[in-house]
Amino acid sequence: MNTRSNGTGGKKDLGEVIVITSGKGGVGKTTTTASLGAALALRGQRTLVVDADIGLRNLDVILGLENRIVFNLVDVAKKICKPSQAIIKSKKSNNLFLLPASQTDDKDVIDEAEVRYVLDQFRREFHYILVDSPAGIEQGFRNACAGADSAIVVTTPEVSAIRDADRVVGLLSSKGIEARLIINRIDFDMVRRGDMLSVRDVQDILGVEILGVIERDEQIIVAANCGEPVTYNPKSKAGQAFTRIAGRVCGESIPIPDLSGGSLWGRITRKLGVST
Amino acid sequence: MDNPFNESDDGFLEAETAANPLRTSSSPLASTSSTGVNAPTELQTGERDERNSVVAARGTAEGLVLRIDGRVSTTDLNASVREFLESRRSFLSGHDVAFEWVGRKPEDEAIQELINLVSSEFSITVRSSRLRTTAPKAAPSTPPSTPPPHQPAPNLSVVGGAARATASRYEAPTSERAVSLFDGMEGFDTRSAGGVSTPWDDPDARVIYGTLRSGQKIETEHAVVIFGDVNSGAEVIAGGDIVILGTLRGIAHAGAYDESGGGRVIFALNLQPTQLRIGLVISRGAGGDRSDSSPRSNGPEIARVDGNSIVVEPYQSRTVWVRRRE
Repeated sequence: MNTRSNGTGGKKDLGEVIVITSGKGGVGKTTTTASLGAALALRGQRTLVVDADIGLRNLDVILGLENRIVFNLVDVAKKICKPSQAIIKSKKSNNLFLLPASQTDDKDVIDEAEVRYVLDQFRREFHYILVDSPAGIEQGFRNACAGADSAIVVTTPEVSAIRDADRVVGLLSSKGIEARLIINRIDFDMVRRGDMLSVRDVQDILGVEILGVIERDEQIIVAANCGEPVTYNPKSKAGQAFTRIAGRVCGESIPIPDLSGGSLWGRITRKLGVST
Repeated sequence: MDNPFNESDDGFLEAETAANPLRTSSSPLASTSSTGVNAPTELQTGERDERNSVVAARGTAEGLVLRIDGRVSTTDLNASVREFLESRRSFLSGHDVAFEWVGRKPEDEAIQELINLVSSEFSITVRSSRLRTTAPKAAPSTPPSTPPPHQPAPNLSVVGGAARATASRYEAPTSERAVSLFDGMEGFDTRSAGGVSTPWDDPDARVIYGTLRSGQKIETEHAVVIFGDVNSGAEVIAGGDIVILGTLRGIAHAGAYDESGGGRVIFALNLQPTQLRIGLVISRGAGGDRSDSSPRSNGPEIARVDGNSIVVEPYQSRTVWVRRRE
């Protein structure tokens, strides 16, 4: 069991709550939550993924569990059901569970205290609890951050996404939550051409530790539509990246590979000074 | 009657920029705000009076100075001053000002009446009252190594701003010190108090250790030094100068409480601003090549007002202290 010390000095066996947020919408929070959750489960970590995007829930679709939802986060918060009744075991792993959001409410239906209560119901049962935050910085975001021990900020290498990520990192640090960064949808060909910001550029602006870099991958879209996280696809580069990220989350030191190396042919042509 | 403000060596800028970015000094000072969206508050004096032709305000090292046309009748005088102060009540109330008479200095009784008016109706004390000399100011001796020619840097363009024929140099606030401020008034001598702000020493300057992230804002009446970056979406608003020991990607507003900008400057190791503002003048940074991977750094640069636009030059320490000591 992953052990953490709490504020009073004693060590307790409690799960780590990580909020996955971005500010900007559509950069890959839900995909990251599902894929990283699956990767952690594959490593034997009991993992709960929580969908905090009330009213616009998506995590259930990405995991292919939308038909199995009976109770949700709001029901647990309002004590309409028992916590164990609301979580759903994933299709492919006994270690991965989902706590879905409600689709018929909106984000103001619960507050931070209720979210903390819900998380407390599950802390002892899981090694990791990943909370999928909605886009924005309003009540939905505040709810998702409640009770979080750390955060993963997802961004794409685009100016608008980076500015939003910067704002979010600032807000998180004012809440005392440390953030690490995942750069999603990077295209190293575009970076080479000078059409896209590089990992270095993003790091210069945000100044936050990088947890992982994920290349643009068509397989993610296919996986989302099939309801099976891309982690289970061994041929997917994104899936491999999530597996590495899961290792880093667990404390392993895995260097970020120089993905700009590209294909062997790419390396050869670069050495010869020939442009492809 | 001549408009007293047409003198060409005047440091005043036409308030014809699209937005008036001046701050009110009553806005929270020296606060870093990282929550919520703080729309920058602007000095909205309601209908910004199109140039009250009798009274105008300017900031100097010693504080606020009201320049008043002394040639008007007493009734007009009182009415104009009252009107001027009324529209800036929150900004000025409780502060002290100095009167600077232009054209002619009224009778002592009239002056005293005005002082009483200002004190009783607006809680403003008058430090001093003097007649402004109209002798042209001597041009400063050019420093041995002249700074590069004043051209707006190619990566800055002016937003708004009237085309106004002005001398290329702006009026340094320090020139006030050459003339005695005291004229039989019981004012207090601000120069003797320790810790007072002088043109070359700001004891109240704030030093920030850290990067300002998007959405965060620093606002102060004094100068600011930041050991870090100012990211896009962040704002630094200072009554004094702004020194950024890092990259400026956001908005910096120096001399924010002074219409003329007070000769303030903005410095950054890497100047890539969204906007630069000094006093009333706004200049936007070059949008530039957004996906450009290489940092477009020209080394440390400093921005100042030249006439109606903001000029960016490679930093040389003399360009700052030479002007201050004039």
